[in-house]
Amino acid sequence: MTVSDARIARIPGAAARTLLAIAGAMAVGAVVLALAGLPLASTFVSIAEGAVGSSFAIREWLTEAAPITLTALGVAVAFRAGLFNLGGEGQIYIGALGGVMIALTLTSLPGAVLIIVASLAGMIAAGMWGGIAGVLRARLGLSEIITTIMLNFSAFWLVSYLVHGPIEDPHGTRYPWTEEIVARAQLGSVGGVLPIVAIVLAGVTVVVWAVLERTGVGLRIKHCGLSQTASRFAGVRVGGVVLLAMVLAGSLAGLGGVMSLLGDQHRLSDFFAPEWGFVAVAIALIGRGTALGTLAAGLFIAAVRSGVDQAQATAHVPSSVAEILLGAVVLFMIIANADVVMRYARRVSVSGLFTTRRHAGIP
Amino acid sequence: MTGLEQGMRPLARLQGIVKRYGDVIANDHVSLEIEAGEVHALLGENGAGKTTLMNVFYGLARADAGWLEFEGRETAPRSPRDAISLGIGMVHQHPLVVGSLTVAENLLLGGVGDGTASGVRAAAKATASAMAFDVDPTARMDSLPVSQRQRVEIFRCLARGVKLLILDEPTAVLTPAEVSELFGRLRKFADEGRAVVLITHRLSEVVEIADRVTVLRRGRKVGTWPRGAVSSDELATAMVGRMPEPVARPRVSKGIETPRLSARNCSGADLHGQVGLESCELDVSGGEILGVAGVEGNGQTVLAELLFGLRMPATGTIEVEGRPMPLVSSWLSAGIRVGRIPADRSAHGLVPDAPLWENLLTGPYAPGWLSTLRRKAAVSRAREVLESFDVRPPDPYALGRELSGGNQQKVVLARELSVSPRTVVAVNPTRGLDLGAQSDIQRRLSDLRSEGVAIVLISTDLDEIMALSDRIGVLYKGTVRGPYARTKVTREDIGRLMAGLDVASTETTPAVAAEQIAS
Repeated sequence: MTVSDARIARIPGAAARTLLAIAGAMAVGAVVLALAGLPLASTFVSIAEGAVGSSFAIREWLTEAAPITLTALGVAVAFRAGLFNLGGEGQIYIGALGGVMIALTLTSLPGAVLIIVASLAGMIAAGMWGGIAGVLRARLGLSEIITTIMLNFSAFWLVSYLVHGPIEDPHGTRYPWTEEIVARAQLGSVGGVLPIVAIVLAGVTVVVWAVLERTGVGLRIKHCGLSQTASRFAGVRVGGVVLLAMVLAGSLAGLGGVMSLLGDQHRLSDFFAPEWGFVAVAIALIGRGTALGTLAAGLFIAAVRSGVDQAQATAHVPSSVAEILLGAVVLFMIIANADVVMRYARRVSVSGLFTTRRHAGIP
Repeated sequence: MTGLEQGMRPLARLQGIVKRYGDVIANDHVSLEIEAGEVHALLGENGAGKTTLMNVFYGLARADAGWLEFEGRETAPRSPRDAISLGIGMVHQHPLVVGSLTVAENLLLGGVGDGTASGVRAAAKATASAMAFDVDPTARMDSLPVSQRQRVEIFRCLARGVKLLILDEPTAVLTPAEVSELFGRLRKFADEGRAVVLITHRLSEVVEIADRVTVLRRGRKVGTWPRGAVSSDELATAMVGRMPEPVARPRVSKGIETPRLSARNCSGADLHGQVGLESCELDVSGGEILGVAGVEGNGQTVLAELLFGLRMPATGTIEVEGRPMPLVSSWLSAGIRVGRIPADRSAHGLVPDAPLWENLLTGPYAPGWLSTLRRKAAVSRAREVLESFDVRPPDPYALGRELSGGNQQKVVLARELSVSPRTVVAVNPTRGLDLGAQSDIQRRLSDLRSEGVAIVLISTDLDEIMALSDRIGVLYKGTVRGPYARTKVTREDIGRLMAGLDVASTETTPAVAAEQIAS
């Protein structure tokens, strides 16, 4: 058996591991449900129905999947470059902020143009936001793990401040949110089932795949992630690649924020993306840092989230139990992909948190 | 050789040792006897199983079969601590010391002195003994040259009263003068009724110091002979199974031509606290190999970084065919074609976790940022290239780190030579490779020279420098001394220059027998 045959042979292994992980999560879930005194079979059925049981459920699922999975694609790009982008949440807020500023001010533009311009604005704003961590890493060697988390606070409170005052809905609803964006800037769905944001997600996934797997840039990003030493020797400006990866990561998360704004929320508020950045990290890990894997993982995790959400209402599953179920799914999926997770996590050891300028810059 | 007298039991004995790592048999029923009073050389190529065998002795590896005996008693050390308390000490290739502590502290840490008595007394004792060993006991370990760190390690073993001292390739980091000093100490140690095992792949060392030599090949013992019973040629054959083909004799440089690559008055600091480069001058023309000899840590790193285009010199210039050389990132646009073979093939030359086909697409001549990657074409081209360079396995999907050192080096060569470079800079290109791979790489360099390529060979392996170079410069404390035409200098001259001495004026040292094999 040649090596490439062996590689093909590994794929069923991964599938089997994934199925085992789902079974494990269901087992843990069953125990939790039993302890909570809930009927097992009917609860699982209502979760499944809540996820994909109706055209409404499917639309809800895909609408929820798009922003988180776009953010996860950003995390995956950063992974490829050897970076841990924990700033997805902040980047989502900044992206949505950029999008809403356009959507609220350039209201005279035709719908399609308005949507595109708002999306670009959100991507640029969040790309620059991600770029801050990139510059700090490339120039000063500051760990992006710390800076992206800190930037989450800055972004959240910036948006919170703005929606509590400067851009608060002037029509006096007294809620901390902006006024609703014009209807023609809102993204609907095709046939009431397939949200346009999901089509955007599919398209962006293909683009990210092509860039990572089929271009010179992708090769350099990957090689920088695998070995900065070898890349530097090869003449690659590692700092530039680090910055680029963080800008790409930020703009993908920013697009996620805009998609949530245009396709779901229709106005900007604070607290609209709780913990999404961390869910995105889990999705990117489960997706093994690849574009297509991340798409699959994002769709799956979103289905569970959406199903559990619905089940809270239909099957009266307490929200704490729902959260435990979700946590079990994520944990087991990460165990199933432990090899990749460890590979990324090793780079984030203590030394990774305290990189010096020498490590980050020219040899 | 007191121990060889009839009726005496050997000091130590290994019987039928088998050690497997997965499918690989590192030691296959190896038996060995060490007599008190002897220096016993363990000779073999890299990967022959020498270190594994001695790790069994030192408690670092457990044999899967076989047993060992020390001073007449069967034993099985479970850890180095066990081994040392038995009286077996081992000094590894890379000194295992704590850099941020002083020599005395390291000795204390290593169990020298009475651990139960007051630290002060122990320190004083250790200090005094260390002084007798010519090392400043208050010096920080990482401020010492490697040779002195090694000396501390040897001393640590001696001070704990070992009767059998095992040294793993101790001479790799030493100058010729330091080697003979070390050998003097080892001889004295053995003459006191103890024993030394010297792991080496250098024939010249066997000839110089060993009383007996055991040859290992692919995990099996080929034989044990007293010195003088076999010729160096026979030992070489025993080691590799065939005679290595001699590399083509160097030819004299043609001389007058614009240099392909030159350094003019270059200086640069070392970023890792080693010796930097100071007013370095060198040039190389097409069709010649310029050897840059020198003991490790005399500025090789900085010189390589400059010639590889990784940084600009602090002062002076590097010129390629008369034009100033830019950083490597703009070599492609500047039309510069220099092949680069770095010292650390697994960390610099390759992305270890990337497949080979991707590794063939790195470096200054890789496809641009915005170019599309035709994966199928790249993979099938990689397969051809890997086959033509005899890389094993020639599998484009194999990861860089899955290859042996020799095959990794072939991948680096394949990539660097695929752009038909006019100049090649190679740093220690054969270090750590087995003899087969070594002569293969050296033959390729020699062929390139015949094709008119200019080659700078920076190497700490004096044999390699002598065998390949047309002219030889010596790096000492950041300055290149020379270069001298190969035909005008002897090995001893270069050795003296490496140690910072001047070339002996008229006196000629008698050549050691080992040298003939080496060149």
